[in-house]
Amino acid sequence: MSRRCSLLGRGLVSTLGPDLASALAALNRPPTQPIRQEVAPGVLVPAFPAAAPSGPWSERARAMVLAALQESGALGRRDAPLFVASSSVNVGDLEAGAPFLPDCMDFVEQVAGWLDWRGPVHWVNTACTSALVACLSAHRLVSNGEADDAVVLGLELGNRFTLAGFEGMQLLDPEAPRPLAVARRGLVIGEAAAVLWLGAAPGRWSLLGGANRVDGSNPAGASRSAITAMVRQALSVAGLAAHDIDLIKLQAAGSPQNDSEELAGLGAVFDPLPTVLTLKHRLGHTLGASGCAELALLTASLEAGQWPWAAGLEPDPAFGLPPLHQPPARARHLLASILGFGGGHACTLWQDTAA
Amino acid sequence: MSPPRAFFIAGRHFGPAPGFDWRAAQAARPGGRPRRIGEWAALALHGAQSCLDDSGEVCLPEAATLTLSTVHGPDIALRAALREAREGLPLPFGFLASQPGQVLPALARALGWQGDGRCLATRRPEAALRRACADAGPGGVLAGWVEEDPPEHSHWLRLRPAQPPGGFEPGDFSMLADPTCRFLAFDGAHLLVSRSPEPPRDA
Repeated sequence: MSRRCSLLGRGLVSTLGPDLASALAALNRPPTQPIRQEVAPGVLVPAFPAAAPSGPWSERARAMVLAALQESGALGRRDAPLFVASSSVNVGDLEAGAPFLPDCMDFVEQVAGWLDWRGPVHWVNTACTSALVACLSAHRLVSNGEADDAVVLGLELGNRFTLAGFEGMQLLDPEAPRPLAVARRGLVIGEAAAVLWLGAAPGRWSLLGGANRVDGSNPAGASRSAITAMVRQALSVAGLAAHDIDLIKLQAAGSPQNDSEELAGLGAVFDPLPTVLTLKHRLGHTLGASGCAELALLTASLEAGQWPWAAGLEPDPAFGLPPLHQPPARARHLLASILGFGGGHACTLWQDTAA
Repeated sequence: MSPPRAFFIAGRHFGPAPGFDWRAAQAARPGGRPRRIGEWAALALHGAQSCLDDSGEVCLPEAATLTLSTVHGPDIALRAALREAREGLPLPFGFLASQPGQVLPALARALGWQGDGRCLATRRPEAALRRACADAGPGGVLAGWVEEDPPEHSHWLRLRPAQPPGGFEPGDFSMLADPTCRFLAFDGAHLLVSRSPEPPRDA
């Protein structure tokens, strides 16, 4: 028997603020410019650090994790499975001189220790798609009745190494994120701790399922055929048709190639495209945390009746997109996708039961 | 709670055997050692392809999921890339080799597959296997446990959903290397194995 899986709580510490309320307030203001961080002698790259108190790396990380969990309300469910979705894990701590931990799970267990977590702990690392892949695993646990709830913690914390790696591969925009724009030149990395608490108890947002497709044709980018297959599979799993989707939260990080691939892949399923939006010009690309961070922000925005659009975001007319400033007449079914580095293509489908 | 799903062990690879030059064996495969992947990913490729050989499949079917569990990941490459980053920008190869997620597209290419894949780590291999079984697609799952740190290993199982045979008994992960263990299932968190000789029947 398949049980409904709902969003029971969420939390977000990001460049927009230390919690969701401050992030929503920030969305009403013009976008802030990224800082410029030195990643190698004389090499400055843009980045969106989280609005968290400065301090030693591990203390700051702990504060961000605790704040996001606290806001989500999931600290009362410490026996639930915890999925930590992160690609950079504790690299920032290593840069600060901390000794290498014996293995990758040690940091994840350290995080669980900060939370006094008692349930099973998993580390998911599929690069940018980590948090959505974790959501799909949590969804299966809940809908199959293996667990009453599960918590996904997306965690991408500040470090120079990731920025330098992306810069070395020429994947960063040297100025600011310009998703979908003619002048887009790459992504800008953001820092975040974000939580989605999923469970069988009733909630406004139901996670209907989704799909994850790994494609080997381009390890650093997206493939339109994988996007098309991903969306078709997700719709089939959820028992929906393309015309049921009212809103698509795009990956759209500002990559010249990927933004085009994404829209071409979606265009093979949706004709015409429903309303689309991107949040990476506000949050930056929070890599492994992005699935959680963007869903936390988007669902909170929609509940608040706030359309998270930013003046100045002008899409390439060649994409033929519906106007970005105009919210859909209703947003009952939402598709949220994350694509990219690591050949990953993942999406989740949500139903707003109040819409 | 849904009834436990049973799986037929269609292929397995528990290796590399001590002293076996897996690097040479892998390099001898057509396209077996792609450029731009690190040692840990190459070890994963070796085990996954050997496991698929054992199952008699040329490609992994799209409807199968792929899961890879590791507690060290490409730690050795990460240490090297971090050292490099202290001097300047890490080279793209070093950075890519340090990222666990990069093993997935490499596996996808090597296995002629596009599908649902993940790197998901837990401390206990049985727990990773349980998650792999829970997340398995209609085409089953190819599940791996790969560690480059000594003692290096690349253990893989190709599992296909099957009707539960008789003769299930409590098992542990190490028993799965034994070719007489032909089926597995989970009763809650507990691994069950069956040596039933009956042919697998599709679930």
